[in-house]
Amino acid sequence: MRVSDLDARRPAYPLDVVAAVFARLLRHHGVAASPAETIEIRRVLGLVGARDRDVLRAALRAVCAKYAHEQAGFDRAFDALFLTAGPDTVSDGSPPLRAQFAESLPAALEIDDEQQLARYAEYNERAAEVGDLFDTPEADKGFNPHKDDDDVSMTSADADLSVDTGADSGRRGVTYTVDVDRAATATVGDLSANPGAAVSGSLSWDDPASILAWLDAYDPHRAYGGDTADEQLTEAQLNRLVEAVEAFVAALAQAVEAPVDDPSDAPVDPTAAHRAEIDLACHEVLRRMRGPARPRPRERAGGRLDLRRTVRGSMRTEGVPFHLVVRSPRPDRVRLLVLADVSLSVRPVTAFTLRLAQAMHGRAHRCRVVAFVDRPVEVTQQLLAGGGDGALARVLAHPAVDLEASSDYGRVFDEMLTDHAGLLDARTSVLVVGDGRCNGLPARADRLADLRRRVHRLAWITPEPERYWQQATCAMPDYAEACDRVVVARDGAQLLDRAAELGHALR
Amino acid sequence: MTAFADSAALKDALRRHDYIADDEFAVVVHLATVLDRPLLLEGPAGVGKTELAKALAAAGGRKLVRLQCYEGLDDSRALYEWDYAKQLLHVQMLRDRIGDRLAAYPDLADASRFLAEQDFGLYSESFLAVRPLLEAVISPEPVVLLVDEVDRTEESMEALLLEILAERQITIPEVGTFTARSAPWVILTSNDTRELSAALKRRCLHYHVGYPTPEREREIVTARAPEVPAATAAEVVEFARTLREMPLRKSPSISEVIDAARAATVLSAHAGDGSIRHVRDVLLAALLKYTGDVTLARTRLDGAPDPADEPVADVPPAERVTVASRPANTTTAVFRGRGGGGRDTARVGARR
Repeated sequence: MRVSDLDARRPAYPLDVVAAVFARLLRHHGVAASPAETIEIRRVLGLVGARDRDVLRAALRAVCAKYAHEQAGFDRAFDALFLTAGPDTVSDGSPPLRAQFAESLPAALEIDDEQQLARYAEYNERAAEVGDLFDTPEADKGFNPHKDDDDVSMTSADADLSVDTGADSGRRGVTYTVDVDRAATATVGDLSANPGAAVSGSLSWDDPASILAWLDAYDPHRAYGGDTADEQLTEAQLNRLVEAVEAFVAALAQAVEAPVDDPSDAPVDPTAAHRAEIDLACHEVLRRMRGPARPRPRERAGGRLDLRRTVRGSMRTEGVPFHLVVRSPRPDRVRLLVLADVSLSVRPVTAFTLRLAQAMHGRAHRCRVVAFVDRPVEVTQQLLAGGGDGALARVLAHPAVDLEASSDYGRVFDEMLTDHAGLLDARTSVLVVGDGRCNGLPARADRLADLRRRVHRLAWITPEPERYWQQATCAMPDYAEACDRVVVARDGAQLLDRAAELGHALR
Repeated sequence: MTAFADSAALKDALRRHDYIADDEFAVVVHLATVLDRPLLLEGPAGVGKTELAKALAAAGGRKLVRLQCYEGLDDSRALYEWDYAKQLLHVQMLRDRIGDRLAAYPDLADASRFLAEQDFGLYSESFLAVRPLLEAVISPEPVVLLVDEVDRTEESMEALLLEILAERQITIPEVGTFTARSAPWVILTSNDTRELSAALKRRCLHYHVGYPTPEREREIVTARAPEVPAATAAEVVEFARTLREMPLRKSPSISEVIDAARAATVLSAHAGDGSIRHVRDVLLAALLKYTGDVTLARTRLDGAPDPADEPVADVPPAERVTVASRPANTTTAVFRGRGGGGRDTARVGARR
């Protein structure tokens, strides 16, 4: 990162950097933080400061994490940036922090001494090493790759090689460092045991601590006040600070890359991610769906003038139309019936199916859920109680759902039309989730066509790509004719891609 | 108008108005007032989202302007409307006067030119029927604008809100643009019945209001219902906490706990005994809103575990995580422990 003179003169510059770095960390951890959010983070940092981490966490959470599935990522990002810094430097807040900080600066940053600088964040040193390895012909310096990796120092014969110690190539250098470190390990098991060790072990977090200390001392009111001459950092301090920030950012970049290699630190709980994905997809579908037209158009302020009713209403006021009646057709609320196949053949996607039904249920205005294998069973009640995967298990444990039967779509549609006819009406849209495999039983596509006639819209989500539909046991081509739209989706991401199509078909 | 120095001051001010906020919440609310950003509160019904707006208005010495959202809410109910009847009366009043004036013009062209020069003031602020959003914008003294239950409206309404939340201005084509005359504090509440659009969420500070800790809840109960003895409050709060651990359709929230505490006070005053044990069923009626929930709670409280939930509890959570991390077959965990039961269940199904 380059720091211009203009930047350096602004006392608030480190705050900008911290905000940008934090936003980047957030994105890395799966929290969608746009530039607008970065600006907000910056404002919050200026207002709240980093003295009280709990306050800062609450404030930043309100600004950044807007969805439930983003909370965990936010916490990881926050911990990585603000909690790894040694709290000891910050906890004793009573002595004048600025003075303390100013004292500590020269010790931490000897800019003239290249070796010191290199050691200071410890990445430069290694970047230089790697540079050595690649820039110089091995024969020239007698390099032996098996000898040792850690003892090459900056003061060796190759130290005068031109190695860019800037942040960008430094980051590149880190990647190599990790590899070299791994290669140094003798046993294979160690590779995965401490993949992050090279990075986290070599990072000295003194500097983040001092940055935070500076943040503590930073008084936003003063900065906005104008007369801050006595508290302004000196030029030298400022320059050092800028250097520190640069190194800090580079070190952070290093830390940001690290968790990817580390499986234990990687975001766990894919169920939550799946759920969030399905939720999002359902939201998209429903947003595009429209209910049928309302039986009576509602009176509105804007729209076409209903002359007949206006004139009729004006009779009360001697022909003066005080009350204008306008009307415009408005779609009714979405009513949805989900028919979910839970048979063996679609077992790998049953969880997706039921979560989809659950998510739809939580969102649509009125949604009934019918699960079936060989006969339809209404399970709305079971999905309703509690929530989460417990509800899925309750659905499957429903006494009337026979999980070992083979799916019989013909019978299901038939029984839907006879026994569950109350669920179908012209104002309800039906969404079937299943593979349309009848296992040799009669497909009864005519019954599906009957069903289509009774309902508002009919769409089908099948997990199988179209090329498998032609197989003998699959009646999907026949069913597809009766449907307004058939969509192939096996998980939330795929459904999200087709959400527009599906929602439009159910419109 | 009062600006709060920091979150602690805000918390104290709210407490003086019987609203007990925890630290994190106070920080977020304070931030919203300082940053001038709308605050979006999400959470189950009855945890004090609307109350916050009221308490904040009282604490800040501001007027509360409330827009209650409902399905079918449109801009004429939320923003403004032309007062058509008033305009019509105005026109009728003008008609006689204009007749006199126009008599002076012998030529029709002159008369129409005269009319074109006149400004009848039909589309001016005085003929506007002001609705909450416009009221918050044009109010000379700062207000607290509460947009209640924003999840009940359609998405088109959200889009309308965006302009007001971001730019704090309302454009009326006939008159012009009204920019906020004072900076309102905006609070939006949502019961989370539907996902709000990302655009709206991104413009707001976001806070999820959850159920409080038992200590805070006791404090709230005693603050809101001073007649309730401390022991009863503690007992009712503990009872509600037990209920919240069950898989209910609607867990009891704070407002229901306050009601139940009141009920318990009245009932135990009659019984002469401080314990709520013998009035449990009545309290259930106050705390739970669905018959299914009441039945479930009764069976659980009487000691018999619900058969439907038993196998779910058996599935070790660690195992679930590992299975779910293999996306090839995400369903195995759900089926676990249920493989052999098919034959029996099939018979049950066939008999029906």
